[in-house]
Amino acid sequence: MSMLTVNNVHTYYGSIHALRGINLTIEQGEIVTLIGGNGAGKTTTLRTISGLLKPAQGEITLEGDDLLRYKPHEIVYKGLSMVPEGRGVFARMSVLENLEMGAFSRNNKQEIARNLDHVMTLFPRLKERRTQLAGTLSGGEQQMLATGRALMAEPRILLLDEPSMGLAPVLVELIFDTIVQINKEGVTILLVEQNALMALSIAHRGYVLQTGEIVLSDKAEKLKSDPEVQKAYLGIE
Amino acid sequence: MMNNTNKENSLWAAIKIGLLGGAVALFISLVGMAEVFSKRDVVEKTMTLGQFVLLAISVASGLLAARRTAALLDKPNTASQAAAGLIAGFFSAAILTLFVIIGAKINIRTVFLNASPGLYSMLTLNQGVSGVWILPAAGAVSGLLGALSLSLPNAVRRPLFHAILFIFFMALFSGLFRVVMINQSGFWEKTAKYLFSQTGMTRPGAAIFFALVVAISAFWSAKGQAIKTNVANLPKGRQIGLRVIAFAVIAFIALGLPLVSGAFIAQVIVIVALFILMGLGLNITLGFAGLLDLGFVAFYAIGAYTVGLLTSYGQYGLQHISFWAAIPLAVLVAMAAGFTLGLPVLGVRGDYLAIATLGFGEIVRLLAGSDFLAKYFGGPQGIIGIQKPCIGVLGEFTKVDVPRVCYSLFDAAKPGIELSTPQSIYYIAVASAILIAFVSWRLRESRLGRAWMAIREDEDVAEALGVNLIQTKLLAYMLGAAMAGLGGAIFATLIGSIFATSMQLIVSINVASLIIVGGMGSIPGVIVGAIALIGLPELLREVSEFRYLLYGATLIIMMLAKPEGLWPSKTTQRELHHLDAGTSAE
Repeated sequence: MSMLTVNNVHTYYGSIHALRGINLTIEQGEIVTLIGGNGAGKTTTLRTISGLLKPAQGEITLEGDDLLRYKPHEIVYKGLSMVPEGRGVFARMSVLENLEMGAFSRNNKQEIARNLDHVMTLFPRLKERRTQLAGTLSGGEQQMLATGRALMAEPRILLLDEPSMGLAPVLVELIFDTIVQINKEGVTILLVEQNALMALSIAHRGYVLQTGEIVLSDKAEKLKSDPEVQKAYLGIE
Repeated sequence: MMNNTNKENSLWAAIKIGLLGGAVALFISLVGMAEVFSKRDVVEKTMTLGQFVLLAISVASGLLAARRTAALLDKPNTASQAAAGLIAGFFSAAILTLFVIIGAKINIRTVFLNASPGLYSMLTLNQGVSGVWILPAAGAVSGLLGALSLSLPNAVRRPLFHAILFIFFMALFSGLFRVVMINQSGFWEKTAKYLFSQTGMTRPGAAIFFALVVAISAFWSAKGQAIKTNVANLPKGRQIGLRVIAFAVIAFIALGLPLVSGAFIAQVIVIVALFILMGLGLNITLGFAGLLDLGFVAFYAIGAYTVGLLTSYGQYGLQHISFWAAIPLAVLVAMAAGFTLGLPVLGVRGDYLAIATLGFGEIVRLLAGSDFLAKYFGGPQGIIGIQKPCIGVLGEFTKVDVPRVCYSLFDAAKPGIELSTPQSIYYIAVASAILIAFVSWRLRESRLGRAWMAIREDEDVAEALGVNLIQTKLLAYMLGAAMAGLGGAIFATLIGSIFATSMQLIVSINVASLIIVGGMGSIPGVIVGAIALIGLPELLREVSEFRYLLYGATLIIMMLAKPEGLWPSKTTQRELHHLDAGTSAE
């Protein structure tokens, strides 16, 4: 059974038809990336999967379980976490409080403490800054915090929305290395990126989204060498 | 050359500061504050409150000008600073002098109602136009003193400043102290008459307090740090012992206060406690969960009306139950109202939420006071004859407008304890405030409290992390409403009657202001804010006339100088001073 399947999903913003029948499948243990230009519907897809937007039509299943049955706040209990676009850290709470909030869906104090240690080893910067207010962190640190916070829910699948946005190249590399590491620890990953080259270099498979429709899907290396993709998203003529 | 232009700048800066101070002085004269204050004394036969305030403005102008000079000049020295102070002090008073001269020639009272002969004579020490020189002279001297105080060492300046401030406050509250002490008669009465006059402090009283405060302040600045470290180094058991002693002293004062304070002070404290209850309630919805509620007074009204309807022996009384039975019901009804408000506005955010809740508050007030519902809520006549709380057994309800008799718990023939005075309601109000402060504190540290803070920061993310928005928001409205409802219930029994007209929008605004002044999201901040914004104006009759003027000024000054509030929560403090914190952490 696939980890996540998205079948013929249509989502509207008012009268705007933002997603026009999206189909995706993600297998257990994969890194799958969703690339596309501005306004293609990448964030809308993630928000629909994580329940923040209700699709007008279609189905979304997580390991065979129909996700559309659940309210947005219940989905995290099913093992799906999202790192929102623009980080979305709780600016007026400390780093530690942010991470603790990430474990809101869990009860076992010992397991949460173990998870916290794990996140701190994954991102040593967060350990240094644990009493600092999240709003005073740098962009890269906020991305680490948002990712760490999502991991605190112990997800089986992690949805990342533009983790490279606004970060210096060296930090982007660091974040992507960590994503690979998280994946190796057994977390399935759906990565939405504008930085298609970086995304395709760590992903197993990729989907190309254009004005609300999937126009291409293939292995990541294949997409990387596809002339259409190279022209449109990789800046290679 | 450079130095020269700087000197011109510093002269102009001193004049500007002086003119600004003068504008403030002119303003408080024209709104009538100066004249009202001049009827009170700081020190009897020496200085009125009005004079004190005007001179304080000159002193402050002089001090600021001297400081500005020190910043502008390459090589500041005492002489140039003193000159700046003198100039600023002179100009701060000169505007008033100009005003007196103009006022003597032209009648400006048709425009400025408060430009009365009383004000002119106050500004010239009853000398008429021939006394116009007094004010600028006094201003210049005050400015000079303010400037010179800068060159005093801290160890001298601090105690002096504390002593003057203390005498100012003692003089403001002298009437209260006097009444309380004279009530005790004997030694206390004699002491009171020695220290306080009818209008302020006596000369010996001022001298004694001045010396005392200077001594204490000097001692503390010399030894305070050492004492603090000594206490910190004490073994754990002794520290706890000290805390217990401090707590016992506070508890003793709190318990004994109504016995000596008299009804007026007790009532003021009750009202402060009720605003603390409302403030703690709004602190949950606004401070913790970030949901602005401008109709908060509605829950207060609902709590009050519930108690009124359930316990009144007047014509609108429904059940004639005891106050103790009505209190939990009032809280429950308020919670239900919070739920009712919360449900329709769940999806409403930010500014729109403020408008929607504002509407709710007005609807409740208008319905309660309407003729349409007058047969249930008494309309404009309100609900009167609210049964006082009784410690004992209540007799049967006999007929309308006859209160139920309160019998002793042990002997049905003897009267019980009826809590009919403000002094007795004091205990209920203060105990409730302490209880609710504790509940607030526990709530903040709880899982629910964390969820509130998360939705305050970012609703979508909180939801994605597993926070049930509907449940969490509704609980914020309901628990906030419950606290305000409890306040309203106690209010109803304190006053004995309730009227819809006392549930105005301004009450909601007061509650929001006290939270902002105290420090958003901070529990001690609510208490400090309620004392500062509700307690002080109630106690100072002279000030209450200018209450909203001072409110506005306080809010603006607070937002500029101390936006985190008087007693901020740790988070807000860190947020606004993260730069200082960041550098010290590096």
